[in-house]
Amino acid sequence: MAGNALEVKNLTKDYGDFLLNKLSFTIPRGAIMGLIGENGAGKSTTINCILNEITITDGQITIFGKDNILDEVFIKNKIGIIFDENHFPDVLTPIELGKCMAGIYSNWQNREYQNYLTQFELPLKKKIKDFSRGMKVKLAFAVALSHNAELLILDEATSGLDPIIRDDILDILIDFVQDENHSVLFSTHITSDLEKVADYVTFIHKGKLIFSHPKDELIDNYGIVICGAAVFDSMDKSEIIAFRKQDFQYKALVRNRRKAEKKYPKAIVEPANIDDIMLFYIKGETK
Amino acid sequence: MKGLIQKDFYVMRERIRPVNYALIAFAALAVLTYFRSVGAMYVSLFLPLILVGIPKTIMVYDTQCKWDKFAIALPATRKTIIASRYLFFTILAVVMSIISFALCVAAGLFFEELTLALCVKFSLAGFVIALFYGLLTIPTGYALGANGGSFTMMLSVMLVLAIAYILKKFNVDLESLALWLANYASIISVVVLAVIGAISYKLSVYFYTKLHS
Repeated sequence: MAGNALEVKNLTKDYGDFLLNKLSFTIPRGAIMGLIGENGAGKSTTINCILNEITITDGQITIFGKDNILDEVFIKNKIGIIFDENHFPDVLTPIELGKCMAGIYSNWQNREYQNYLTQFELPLKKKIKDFSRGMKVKLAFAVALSHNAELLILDEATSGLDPIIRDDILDILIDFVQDENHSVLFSTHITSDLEKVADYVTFIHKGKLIFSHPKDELIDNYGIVICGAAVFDSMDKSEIIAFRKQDFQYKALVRNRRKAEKKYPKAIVEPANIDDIMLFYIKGETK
Repeated sequence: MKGLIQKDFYVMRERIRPVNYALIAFAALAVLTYFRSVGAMYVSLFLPLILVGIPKTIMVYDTQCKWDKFAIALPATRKTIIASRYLFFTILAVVMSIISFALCVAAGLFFEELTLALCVKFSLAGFVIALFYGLLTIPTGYALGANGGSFTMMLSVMLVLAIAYILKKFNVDLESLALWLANYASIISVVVLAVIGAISYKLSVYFYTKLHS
C-alpha cells in the first residue's frame, strides 16, 4: 500500500514556556523514522500530539491519510505504543493484560500475543511489578505487535536497556517493517540504534525542526572538517553548519563532505555520524 | 470498553486486601446477630455503600502506574474511558445489592418479620444510595485525585445540611414528606439519579479532558 503512514504539518504546541514550532515531517509506509533531539527538545510533546494525548495549538496530523482526532479510534487500533517505562497496571499478569487488551483492540490476536510472550520468554502468570525493565519493554512490544498495528511509536523505549535487549528490539523493528505496509516512529537518545535501523532521521532542537532527512543521505553527505585556524578562516562560512574550537584546532560540520575534501586539501575531513551532527547543532557555534 | 472494565476489576481484586472483605463479612454478621431483622435491613441498605471508595482507589492507582497516559493512546475516546468507569461502578453496585438482597432473604428465613418485599425495598434503597454516592465520587476523583474522597464526604455533608436547612426554612412537615417520598420513591430515585448522573458524567469528562490535554 503506497502513501504515508504519518504526516505532520506545521505542528505547533504552545505551553507558554515552551513552543513546539511549526514542525513538519512525513513517515512513508515501510520506513523507520528516528526522532532525535536533546532532553526537552519536544520529542515527547510531538508524540503526545500524534497520539492526541495533548491538544495541539495549530497544525495538522494525519495517520494513514486520516485525521488523528476525527478518526481517533480507527487510527489507534492500528498504532502500537511503547513508552519509556511501564504503563500497564503492574498488579496484572501478562495473561490478564492480554484479556484486557482483547476487549480494547478490535483486531486483537491472542494467538499472536501468546507467541510473542513465548518468544520473549516472559512468564505468563507472574505479575508485571516483578518483571525487570527489559521484560516490561518486551511485554509492551508483545502488546503493540498483537493487534495488527501498522505504525509503531516508540518513545525512548530502549533507554536504560542493556545492549543485548536493545539489539533484540532492533531486530523486532527490522522484522516489523519487512511488511512494507508497516512503519515505525522511534524517539531515542541512543543514536547508534538509529544508525542500525532508521531509514529517516528527524532532528528537533528547542522545539524547532532542524532537519528531516533520509539517514543514508546524512551519513553519506555530512562531514567534519578538522583544521587549524588558517584553513578555518579561509573557509566559506556559508558551508559551515556549526563549529567547535578545541585548543588549536577547529572542527566544523559541513553538509557536503566530498566538496569540502576537494576544497580544503589541508584539512582532515571525516564522515559525521548522527551523534556528531546532533552535538554540533546543539553545542556548536554558528558565528 | 469491555477491556477497560475488566482491567478495573483486576485492579480492584489486587488493591482491596482480603482482610477488608473479611472485616466487612464479620461486621455484617455481627449486625445481623445483634439487631436481627432490623440488622438485616441495615446490611441491605448500607452494604453497597462500602463500594464507594473503590473507584477512587482505582483512579489513584491508574495515575500512579501511568495507565492514565496509556489509556488515552488506546482505541477508546476519553468519553468511552469515563463511561467505562461509570459502568464498572454500576456493575459493582448491582452485584453488591444482589449480595445484600440475598443476605436479607437468608436472614428472613430466621426472622419472620423480614418479608421479601422489605428485602427488595431495602436492597434497592442501598443500590440507589451507593449509586448516588458513586456519582459524587467519580468526578471529584478526576478533579482532585487522592483528595477526592474527603471532598465527596464534605460535599455529602453539605448536601444533607442544605436539604435540612431548606426543609426548616419552608417549614416542611417531615412526616408527610417522608410519606410522599415513600409513595414516589422509585420515580424520584430514577429522576434524581438520571439528572445527577448526567451532570456527574459531564463533569468527569470535563476534568479528565482538562487533566489530559
